[in-house]
Amino acid sequence: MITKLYVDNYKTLVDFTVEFQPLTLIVGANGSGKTAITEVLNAVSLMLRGKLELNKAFPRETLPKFKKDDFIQKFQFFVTLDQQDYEYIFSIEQNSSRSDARVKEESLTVNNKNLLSFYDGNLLLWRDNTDPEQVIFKTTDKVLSIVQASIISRSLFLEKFTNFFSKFIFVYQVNPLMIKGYSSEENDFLGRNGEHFSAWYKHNQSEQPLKLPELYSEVASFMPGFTHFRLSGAEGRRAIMCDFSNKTSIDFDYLSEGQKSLILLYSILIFSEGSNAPGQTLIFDEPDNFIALREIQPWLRMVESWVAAGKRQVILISHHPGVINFEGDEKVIWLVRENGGPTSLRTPTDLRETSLADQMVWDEE
Amino acid sequence: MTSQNIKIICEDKAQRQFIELFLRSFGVNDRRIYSDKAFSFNRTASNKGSSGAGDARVVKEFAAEFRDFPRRNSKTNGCILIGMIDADKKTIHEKRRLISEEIGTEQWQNIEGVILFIVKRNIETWIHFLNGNKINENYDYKDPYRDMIKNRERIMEFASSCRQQQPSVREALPPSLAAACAEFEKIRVRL
Repeated sequence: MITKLYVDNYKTLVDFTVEFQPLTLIVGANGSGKTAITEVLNAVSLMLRGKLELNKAFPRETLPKFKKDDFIQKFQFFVTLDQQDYEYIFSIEQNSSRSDARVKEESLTVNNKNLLSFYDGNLLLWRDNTDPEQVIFKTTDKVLSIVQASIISRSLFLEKFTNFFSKFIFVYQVNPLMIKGYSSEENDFLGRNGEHFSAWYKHNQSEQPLKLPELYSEVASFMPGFTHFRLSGAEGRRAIMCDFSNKTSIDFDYLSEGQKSLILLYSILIFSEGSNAPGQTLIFDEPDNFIALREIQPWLRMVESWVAAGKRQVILISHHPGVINFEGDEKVIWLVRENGGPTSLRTPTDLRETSLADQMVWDEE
Repeated sequence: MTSQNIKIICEDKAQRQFIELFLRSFGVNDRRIYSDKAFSFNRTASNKGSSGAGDARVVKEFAAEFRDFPRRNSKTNGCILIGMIDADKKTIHEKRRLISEEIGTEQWQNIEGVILFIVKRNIETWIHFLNGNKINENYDYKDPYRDMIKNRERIMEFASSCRQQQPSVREALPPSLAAACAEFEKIRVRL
């Protein structure tokens, strides 16, 4: 689980620290920096999966607009896995005139013991054994050295950390307009917007068939009469069909945007639960988009149960009062910006007279 | 499609989860339940345990929902209103009187479908008891018992014992839990 994040000089996040709980709600006005937090986590996760380059993850445009002449961006991640405390830090130096970021410094420790250090082109790796051996490589500063280290290191701790970041952190901003109900392949990666849903569903259908009745049952609760999904059409372009008890079928593409979103949100929780991963962090950026008021809270209750099952983490970002008042507690992360400056944290005042959602409307400048 | 006809008015997230788990033990469909007011900030460190400090709004909201209850009940069959409030240092009777004063009558206590759980002293007290411990209803038990989901089995067992109406079980309950069990009878046929 990610316990803490420090970011300096990335978009609106300047010398900014945020702490996470097993279930964390992030709220704040538009442009307050909520999505910037998820972008940082997503960028590192995608880089470790080999799906994103440093320059594209952290282009020069990610420097704060309100701050001049500081080209160093710093990121610090605190992660607890199997009761071991990891701390991963890297800083990037942006070119003053063009997009050409380079890694300045990088380090990874477990329980304050070194696992990796990168500085001035030198990558140092330590082994796990009681008499740790330091190994030095010359390497490039155009990629995070942890990406290379994940391939060459013999440290089980380092492997566990990179595995977590590359395989078990998922950022979702479900966009039903980008979901296609057919595909020609299987894919174990859903994509941030759910754009690979049909390929991902096919993958899970064959990998986790025992989870399908639970998914079908949830779908039936908001699509009365629904019985199951069926793949139709020739190999190469298999479409997902929704079958109903009255023998009718609807092409997935013809469902409403809200129905598609709900199917994705339930699928993510149910298939994640069945994946037997050692610990996962799911980040949902505005999961309530497109969804009817009555459908939000049943899904949130499933989120609470999913988190309570242990070693799992969910970070929710929402503007919706039905979510904010439902999940908001004293540990809510409320982001604010004053006069277009950096993001800061606001502690909600006593809500005996005003709910959190009301307070966000009336108290924010 | 299931009617959303169970409304929860409570002080915070822990109370909301307690009620949800209570209802779930009866097989109540999640989609019947809606909670639009969970005033989670009544229980911050600064005001935790302050008698009556956090409940004014719940009293007000519960009274407002009660006034709207006949209209909602005529539209949706089996409508239920569930309130939950800490007694803190007050008695259950004193808390009920607060609600009666806000509504303007004591008759709300006899309306089928409308119940109020008064937790004495607070939700941690109940959970401490349900975990097999002796309790003092005037003592403020602390945070280890805040996570309702971790206490799911205990809460559902309690709900089950309420449903079975076993006198021996009810007699063994502390007064506020026994009162909650009795209160449940007003919604039994609607679940």
